[in-house]
Amino acid sequence: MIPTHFLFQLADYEGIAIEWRDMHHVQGIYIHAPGAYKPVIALSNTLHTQERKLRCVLAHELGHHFLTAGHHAIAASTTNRIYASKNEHLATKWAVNLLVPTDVFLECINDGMDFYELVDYFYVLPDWIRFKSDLIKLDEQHTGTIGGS
Amino acid sequence: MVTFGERVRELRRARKWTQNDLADRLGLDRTTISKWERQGGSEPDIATIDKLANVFDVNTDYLLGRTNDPTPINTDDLPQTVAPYLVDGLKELTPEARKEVMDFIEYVKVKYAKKDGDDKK
Repeated sequence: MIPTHFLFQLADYEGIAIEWRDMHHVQGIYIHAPGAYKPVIALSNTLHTQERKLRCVLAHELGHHFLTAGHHAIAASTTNRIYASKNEHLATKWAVNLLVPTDVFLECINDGMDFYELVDYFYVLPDWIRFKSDLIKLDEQHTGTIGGS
Repeated sequence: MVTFGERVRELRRARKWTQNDLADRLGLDRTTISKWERQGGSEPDIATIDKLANVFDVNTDYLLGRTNDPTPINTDDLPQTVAPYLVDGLKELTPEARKEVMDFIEYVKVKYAKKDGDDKK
């Protein structure tokens, strides 16, 4: 799995500031106004004890950073849905592909890993494994393998 | 059937955490974790089981060895990362969430606004 500290290093390398905040209705925010201030990602303090969720939220916010590439952007992930000005789907897709690389994913499936083993192996939320399988449009045979829980 | 102690050890090792790492996350002493994991060892109270479920991101039945499906039950609290493309725009945020976002924007403006330029030297 991609180590969690790698995500923080990536943010650091990109010059993104991380702010832990006492937020209960929002889990993550990405904000950037070029020329006014540097990109900042806010993370809810509630994620401190939930590393799996933290990985998904942080990777998602990083997705916004790379997809908006220097343009004005604000995006917020709430506790029950993810909202943003635009490109929300793309940010999740970017994040899923970062945390669950296609080649490794296919290798794991060929090795016979089941759904929950995949969830644990990549250390992501279960939905992300479902999303990944949708993304790469597994054929019938593979779908049977990972969906068979 | 997997026992509680075995489950804790299995989850902890899967994350490559030492007993100390887990104890720190729970605000407990390492020896407490060690007692749980020992065969026929002690058991935590309900509040601690709840914390454990959060720390490991599993449901409590899974912790107790009553099921092999670790999916957390409290899905209200999970980001629905598959559905984001259904909604668009900050105006769709709940008032509480919008306030948290707006507060953060104000915070960033104050804290980071001048730090981009080096004109303070």
